[in-house]
Amino acid sequence: MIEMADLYRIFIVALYFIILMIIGTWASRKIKTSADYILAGKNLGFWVFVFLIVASTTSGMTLLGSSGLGYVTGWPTIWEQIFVPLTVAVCIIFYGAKMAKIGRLRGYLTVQDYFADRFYSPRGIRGIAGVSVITTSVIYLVGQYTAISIVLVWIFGITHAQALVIAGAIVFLYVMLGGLYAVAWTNTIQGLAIIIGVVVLAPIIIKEAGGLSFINSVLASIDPEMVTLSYPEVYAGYAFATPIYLVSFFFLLAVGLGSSPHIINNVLAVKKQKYFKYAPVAAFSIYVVVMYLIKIVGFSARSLVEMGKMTVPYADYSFVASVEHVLPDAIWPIFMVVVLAAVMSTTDRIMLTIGNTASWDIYKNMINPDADDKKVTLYTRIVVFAVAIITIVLAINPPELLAWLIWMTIGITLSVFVVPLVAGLYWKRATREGAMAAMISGFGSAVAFGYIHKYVTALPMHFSMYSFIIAIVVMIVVSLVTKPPPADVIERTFTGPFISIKEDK
Amino acid sequence: MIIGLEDRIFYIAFGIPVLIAILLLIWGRIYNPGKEDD
Repeated sequence: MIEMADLYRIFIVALYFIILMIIGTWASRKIKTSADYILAGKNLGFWVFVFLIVASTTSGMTLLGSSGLGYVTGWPTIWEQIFVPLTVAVCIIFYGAKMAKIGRLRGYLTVQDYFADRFYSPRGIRGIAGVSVITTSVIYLVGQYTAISIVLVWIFGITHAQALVIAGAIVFLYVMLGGLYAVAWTNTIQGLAIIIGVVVLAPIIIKEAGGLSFINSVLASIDPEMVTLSYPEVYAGYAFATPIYLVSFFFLLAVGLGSSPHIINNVLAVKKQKYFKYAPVAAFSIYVVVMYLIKIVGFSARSLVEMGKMTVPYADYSFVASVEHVLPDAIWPIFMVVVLAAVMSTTDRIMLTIGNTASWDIYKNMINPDADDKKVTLYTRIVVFAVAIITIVLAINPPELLAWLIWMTIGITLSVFVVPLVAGLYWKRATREGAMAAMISGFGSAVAFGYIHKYVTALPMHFSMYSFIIAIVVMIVVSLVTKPPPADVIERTFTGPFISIKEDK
Repeated sequence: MIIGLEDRIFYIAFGIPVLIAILLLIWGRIYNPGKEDD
């Protein structure tokens, strides 16, 4: 028999889902062209853009994983809380501001459009980039669906399979209906829910755990290195954050994450270029406060557990357990929505990215250039549906190596996309052959070093650092030994060591 | 000691985000987006 408490939880979550569906339906009315569906008509306002790019970056792992990491490791992993918000600023300033301007003049809808144009390779480089995007995004998506399922199972006590079907249906419906309009506006709601939820909850949890000074004294009593900013050497499973590892962590998160297509494509959707002036500081400042609070909740959870006030079944459950511990039964279901918002906001953006890559980059630009807008939008929706089904089936029995695969995908992103993107934007001598070779060698060596780290010998830095360096060397060497790019390509893509573009050039 | 952390650690952990925010504010002041084409 369903009890009142269960009905209350169902009501809260159902209300949240209804709001998302209303937004999806409203957004669907605005869609007339592919650009409307893929890029919200290039019409996003300042705050919608800021929330979209922050929420696209905020995955389930941001909330559950980084508080869990704080629970286990203490302060040495606080750098994660700086690097992830920083990647949004890096994305806008170093990749986005210039690419969006060129994109506006040249009519890009995706980052692969830029690659195809800059590297005068309408099919080859677009194909390599497209396949990389789809492969890594599907793995990432399986991880996100698993995270959503953890939250829904926790809320309702339903089975993993039921949770996946509910989550998949809801996200699929509003993405299918409203494209980026729906994703942008739902992410604004979700972003606000995360910010308000974390800012309200964290002080309550910290107070309950005895205050910051007490929490830090508890961490120091477990291991004095937990209140420092790096571990001197790897002496335990949790003590991986050595100074040299943190350098590779910076490149992985601050430099690599922001080049992910589901994040960088957002910059092509802004209404005005001038938003790039203050969007970096706005996004970073909001995001960094939320990220610090999330990590400190992890520290607080450890303190509460050490004091015997609460139990945590596993580290990634520390945020959820802390919320349940401090809030009365009548209120905490409202905050479940905060956790749900965090895990859903990346999922929807990645689904749309896969749909757009398959229909726009591969179908329209490589297979059938004569396809009209209606057909492309229809195909995007079909792909989004197919992706929802495939990833849910994969997530029902998630591979045992899921966490490793997700880290692998971020590592591949750093190794595949950053080098051709930066070289393309700022180095006139970067050639098509150099970009292709860098992408292929970056992909291959990321998989190889990831395998070595996991199965052969632990590496001192994150494995992606090695493949990133290989991609840089390959890009430079191959570009220098091949024929320089045509002069008209360099001119029309405004290539050179500058960010601001003078249009009368 | 500040909030149970050594002074140096506290200032690095909380100073770096503030410093980054200031640098991003300076970016906002100097970045010239050029002519809007819409």
